[in-house]
Amino acid sequence: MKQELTVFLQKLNAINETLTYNVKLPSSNAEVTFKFLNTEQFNRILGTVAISDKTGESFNEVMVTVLEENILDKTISVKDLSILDYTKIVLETRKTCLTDNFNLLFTEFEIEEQQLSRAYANVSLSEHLQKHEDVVAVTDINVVSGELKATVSMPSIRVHTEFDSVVKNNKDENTSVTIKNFFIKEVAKYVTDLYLDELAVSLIDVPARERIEVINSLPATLVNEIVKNIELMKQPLNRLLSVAVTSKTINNESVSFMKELPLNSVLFNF
Amino acid sequence: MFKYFQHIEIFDKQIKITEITVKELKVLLKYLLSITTAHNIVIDAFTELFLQKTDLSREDIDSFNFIEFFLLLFHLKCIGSSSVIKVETTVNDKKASFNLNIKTFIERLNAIDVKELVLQDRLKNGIVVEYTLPSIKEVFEHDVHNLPCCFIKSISMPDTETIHVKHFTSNEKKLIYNSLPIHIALAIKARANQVVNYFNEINFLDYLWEDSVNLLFNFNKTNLILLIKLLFNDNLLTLLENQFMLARHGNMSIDYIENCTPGEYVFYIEFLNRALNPKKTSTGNQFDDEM
Repeated sequence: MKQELTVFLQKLNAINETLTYNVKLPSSNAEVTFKFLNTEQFNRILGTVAISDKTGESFNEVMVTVLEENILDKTISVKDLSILDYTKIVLETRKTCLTDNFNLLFTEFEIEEQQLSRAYANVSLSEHLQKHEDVVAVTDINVVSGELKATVSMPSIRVHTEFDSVVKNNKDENTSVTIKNFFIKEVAKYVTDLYLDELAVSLIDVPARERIEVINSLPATLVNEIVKNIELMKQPLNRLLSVAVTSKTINNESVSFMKELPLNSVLFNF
Repeated sequence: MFKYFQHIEIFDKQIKITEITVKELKVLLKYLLSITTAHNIVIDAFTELFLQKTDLSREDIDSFNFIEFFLLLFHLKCIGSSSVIKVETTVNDKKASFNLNIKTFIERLNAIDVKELVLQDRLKNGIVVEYTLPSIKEVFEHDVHNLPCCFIKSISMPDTETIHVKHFTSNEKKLIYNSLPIHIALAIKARANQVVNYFNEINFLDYLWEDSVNLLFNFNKTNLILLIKLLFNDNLLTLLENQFMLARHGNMSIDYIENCTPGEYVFYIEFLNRALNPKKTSTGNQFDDEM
């Protein structure tokens, strides 16, 4: 490599170290600092749009790797952060490193149903994030049904991705019924501990497939209680991703409705 | 050797240019057969041809941006043979033929104010980016994601010597572009897009009566390849066949034919045609348009 290029890249790297942004985590209120994305990382994120379901890295896998590269405090493991923290970081990264404005596309159904005159709505990410500055994570909840007790926790992005990949990569006929059961998969993600009398089982380090099997064998009464609490736990996440959009119909009337921000490469494609 | 030459001007550069020969055209046609898959080899072949046919140095040619490359190519085509190319196409399911005048292409490109396109941006963190137009090789080498990196002429940062990116290899340019903070890279991309959009508007055939027939001068590789192939659209097999006919019926040596210019060669073919078929009128060859 040319000497002047080496010096330039070193200097550029030094500048990159000083270009940072902070994100306040909803789970701990702690502030974590990240370096700005560089072009190569941006292209890697955009590249996940072309990845099929069963091959290559998903958006979340690539995003976690990029955030691990950019986080200044290397003692923090990004993949072990909750999906609520991760979602906030992704939205802040999009807003700070790219632009504040995001064009949220309407679906064909929405355009037809609402008779919209435009295919997208402009969303100010800074306004949206400021509005939800107070979003905090719900702490772990213990759910009891008879002699059984379960702890419901917000899953980490690592667990979330692992469960998703189990569903995508499943070819095992025996467990296909279980795996295809999206409902059970979602429940299993949130249950971290089970208690029966004196017996306590931690599911945190148990592989996703086995966790799904365990949840599948729980009594329906307990699963129903768990689901109710998962809904409660998901509320901050839903708030963070839901945005009220206003648009005009073809008759020039204003129409407002809620939409969800996409947590994938579409968010970075502008 | 005593040769016919002309002086041409490409953006204030005076260039002495001589005619190409049938032999050189033959070699060029062989290269053009593989232009879609091996465009770098074809561009290298053009560089070698320019070295032989002009008083430019390799350094001069390598520093040419893609507009200058095409201007030189257009001039080379005009001086060695006809400035008019007959093209046949299908418009609304009907066959149509028209004459393309390369001289209008030259006028079109000469009218571009390059200085208006290559500016300088002062970006955040004291980074200053100076822009240039990419070479034809760079346009072919880079994919859409990395194309903006070949628009960078130099980058300077506070307390660092200005780095002149222009002479770096493609990989070195990519490395720099990929290491830039994304907001700087996006500013460069926006500037590059501005230039790309300017060229996307240029249609060499906009003087024609038919809107659906166009020949765009944009960064699309397929379009640029089409433009090069259009300039040298002679059929290699026909050329070899005609050489044989001239040697057999015209008693001309292959050596003599190969040292003719493509323009002279067309004349001889026409004369041979008339000699062999005295009752038939002109075959409507390219040289009729010139006479």
